[in-house]
Amino acid sequence: MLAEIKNVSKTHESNGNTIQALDNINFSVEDNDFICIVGPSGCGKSTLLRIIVGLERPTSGEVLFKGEPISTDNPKVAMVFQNFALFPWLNVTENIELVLEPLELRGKKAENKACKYIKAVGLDGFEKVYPRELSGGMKQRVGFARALAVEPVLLCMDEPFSSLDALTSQNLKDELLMLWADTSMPPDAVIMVTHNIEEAVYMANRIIILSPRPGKVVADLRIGLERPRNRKDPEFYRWVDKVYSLIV
Amino acid sequence: MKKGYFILLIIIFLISVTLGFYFFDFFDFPEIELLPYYAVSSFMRMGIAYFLALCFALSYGYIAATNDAAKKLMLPVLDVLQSVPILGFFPAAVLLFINIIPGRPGVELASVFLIFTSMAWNMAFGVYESLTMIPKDLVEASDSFGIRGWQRLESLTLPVCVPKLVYNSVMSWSAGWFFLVASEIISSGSETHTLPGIGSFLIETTYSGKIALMLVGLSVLIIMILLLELFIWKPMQSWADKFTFDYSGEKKPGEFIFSTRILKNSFKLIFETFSKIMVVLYIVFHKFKLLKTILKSFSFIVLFSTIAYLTYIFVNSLIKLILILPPDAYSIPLAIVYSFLRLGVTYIICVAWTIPAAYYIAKNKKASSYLMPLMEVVASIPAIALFPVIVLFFIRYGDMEIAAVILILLGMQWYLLFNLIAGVKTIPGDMENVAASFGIKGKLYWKKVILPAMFPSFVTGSITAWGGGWNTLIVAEYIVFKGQEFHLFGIGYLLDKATFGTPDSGMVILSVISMTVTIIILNKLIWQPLYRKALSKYKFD
Repeated sequence: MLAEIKNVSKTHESNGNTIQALDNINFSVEDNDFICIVGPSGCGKSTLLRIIVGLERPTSGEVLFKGEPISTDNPKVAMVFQNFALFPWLNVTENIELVLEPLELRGKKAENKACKYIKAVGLDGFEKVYPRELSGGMKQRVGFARALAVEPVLLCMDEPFSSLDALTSQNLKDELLMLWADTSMPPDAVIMVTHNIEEAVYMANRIIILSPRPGKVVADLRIGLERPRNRKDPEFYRWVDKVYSLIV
Repeated sequence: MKKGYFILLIIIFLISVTLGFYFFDFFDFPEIELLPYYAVSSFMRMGIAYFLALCFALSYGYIAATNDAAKKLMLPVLDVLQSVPILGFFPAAVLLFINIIPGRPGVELASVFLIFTSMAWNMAFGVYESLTMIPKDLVEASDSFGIRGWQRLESLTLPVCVPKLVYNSVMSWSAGWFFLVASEIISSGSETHTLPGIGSFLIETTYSGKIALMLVGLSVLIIMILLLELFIWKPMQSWADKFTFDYSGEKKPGEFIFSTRILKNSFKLIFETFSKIMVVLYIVFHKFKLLKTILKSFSFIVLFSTIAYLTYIFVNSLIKLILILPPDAYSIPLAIVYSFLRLGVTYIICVAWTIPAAYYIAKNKKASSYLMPLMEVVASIPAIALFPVIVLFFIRYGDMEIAAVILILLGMQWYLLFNLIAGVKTIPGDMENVAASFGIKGKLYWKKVILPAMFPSFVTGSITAWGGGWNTLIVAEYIVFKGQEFHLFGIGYLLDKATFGTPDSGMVILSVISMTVTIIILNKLIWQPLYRKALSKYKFD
C-alpha cells in the first residue's frame, strides 16, 4: 500500500459560518493505481487533493504515505497544477532545476536530469525558453516535466488538462499514460482530479466519485477496460454512463 | 478588527484630545480658537487644487491618448514635469504669481498652484494609461454595435478611467497634504507671506517653540486626513471596483463600519452628472463646427503664447546666468553628489527594513489586520509636518546628518513599503503551492521565489520613493528653528539658501535645473531599464 487516506474531514470557516467541505473520506492508494477523483463542482475534489499532498491540513483524520504522515516537502509526492504555476522569471530548464535544488541536486547533475524530463515530455529545443513564450499545452508539459523530475512515487494532478484545447490534451494524456505504464520511469501511482468523466474513464483504473458538498465517497469503481482504450467502444460508454448516473 | 473601526477609534481619540486642549486651556494660547478656520481654509485650497488637477488630468490624458501627433510631445513633457522636484521651482512660481497679482490673492494662487503641481501629473498619466489599455474586445464590441461619439464617451471612455483616477486621487491627496504644509508660508527674499491655514500654523508654532500647540494642530490635520480616508476614499475605492476589468468575481473584503450605499450612490450621482456635462460639451463641440474651430485655435494660441513666454523668460535668464555665473554655481556638482549619497544611504536603510516587513505584513493576516491601518495612519501624516519635532530632538541630542536621514526616510519609506506589500499580495497562490509542495524553503525560496516576485513592485516603489526623497531633501538640508539656521551641504541647501537666505534667483534656477537633470538621468539610466525588465520578465500574467 502506497498511501492511505483515513477518515479525512475538512470544514472551512468564513464570516462565522462553518462549511463542511469533506466528510469522512477513506480510501487507499496501491502501487500502479491511476485514480481519478470526480464529482460535481464544489464537492471538495481539489481540497481533497491538496490535503493528500499536504498543502492543507484536514480538520480531522490523516493522510499516511508509506505509513508516515504526509508532509509537503516529501519529494516522493509531486503535484501538477491546473494553471501550470510556472515561474515567469525562470526559463524551462531553470523552472525544473529549481525543484531539484531542495533534493541537493545542483549544477551538471541537475541540468542532465532536467534535460532528461524535458525530452520525456517532448519539449527538446525549448530548454532556454521562458514560460511567457510557450503555448498552454507546452506550459503544461513543463508542469509535467517539473513534477516528474523529482522522480515521485505518487503524482497528484489538479485538473491538469482543463485549461488546454482538446487536441493538445489528448496527446498529453496518451504521453502521460505511457510514462505511467513505463516501469523504469516515475511515477508509480497517479491521483488526478477532474470534472471530465470521459477523461476519467479513459485514463483511470479506479474512479472515486464524491457526492455534492459535503464530499463523501459515493463509489470506488475499478475500470476493467483494456488498454489502450477506445472511446468509440460501447463498453467505454457503458462505463461513462455508469459514472454519470452515480454523480447525478 | 475591522479597519474602519480602528480608524474611527483613532479619530475619536484625537478629537477628544484636541477638545481637551480647547476646553481646559492647558497652555492658554489664543491661536487655538482659530484652528477650525485654519482647517477649513487649508481644505478649500486642497479641494480647489484637486478640482483643477482633475480637469487637467482628464483633458491632458484624453488628448495624449487619442492624438498620436500630440502624444509625441505630451508624454515626454509629462515625464519631465513629474521629475521636477516641485518644491524647488516653487519660489520662482510664487514670484511670478505675486508679480502678476499682488497681495494675498497672488499668494493664495501660488499655494493652490503648488498643490496642483503635486497632484496633477500622476492623475494625467492614470487617465492616459486607462485610455490606452482599454481591452481590445471592448473597443471592437463598441464598434460593432455602433457605439460612437458621445455614447462611447459615456459608456466606455469615462468609466474606464475611474479605477486609476480614484487610485491616483488618493496618491495625489497625500502628496497634496505634504505640499500644503510647505506652501502656506512662502518666503521670497526678505518678504514672508503667510496664509491662514493648518500648514502655516504647524510651522509657526514649531519655529516659535510652542510644541504643545503644534501637536494640537498636528492632531487636527490627522483628523482631517482620516475623516477623508474613511468617508471619501474608502467608499470611493469600493465604488470604483465595479469599473475594473476583473471578471474573476473575487470580492474584496468590506472594510467599513457602516453601510456605504448612500455614499456610493452619491459618487454615482456625481459621476453621472460629471459625465453628462462632458457629453453635452462633446455634443456642442461636435455640432457647431465654428465653435470647435474657435475653441481649438483659441486654446492653441493660449498654449503657444504661454509656452513662448515661459521659454523666453527661461532662455533669457539662462543666458544671463551663463554670462555671469554665480560663485556658488561651481559647488553644484559636489552638492549633487553629497545629496545623492545622502539619499542613497537612506534608500538602503529603507530597502533593508521594508522588504522583510512587507513580506511579514502581507503573509501574516493577523498582524496585518492591525498593522496595516496603523501604518496607513502614520504614513498619512505628511512627513514635513513631523520635521520640526525630529529636528528639535536631534539638534539637541544628536547630529544634523542623522536628522536629515530620518527626515528623508519619512519621505521615502512608505512608498516602498506599501508597494512591496501589494506586490507580495499579488503573488499567485499556486506559486506558493509549488514552493511548498516541492520543498523550496529558506534561502532558495527568497532567492528564486519571493525576491523575483517582489521585483516589479520594488521598482515602482523605488521610483516613487526617490521622487519623494528628492522633494524631502529640499526641506531636510536646511532648517530654521527658533531663528537659528541648521544646514547640511547639498543641493537642497544651495537651493534653500538662494531662496530664503541670500536671495539669488540665478542660483535657484541653476539648482533646480541641475537637480531635474540629475533626476531625469537617473530615471533614464537606472529606473526605466529596470522597469522594462520588470514588466517583461517578472510580471505574472
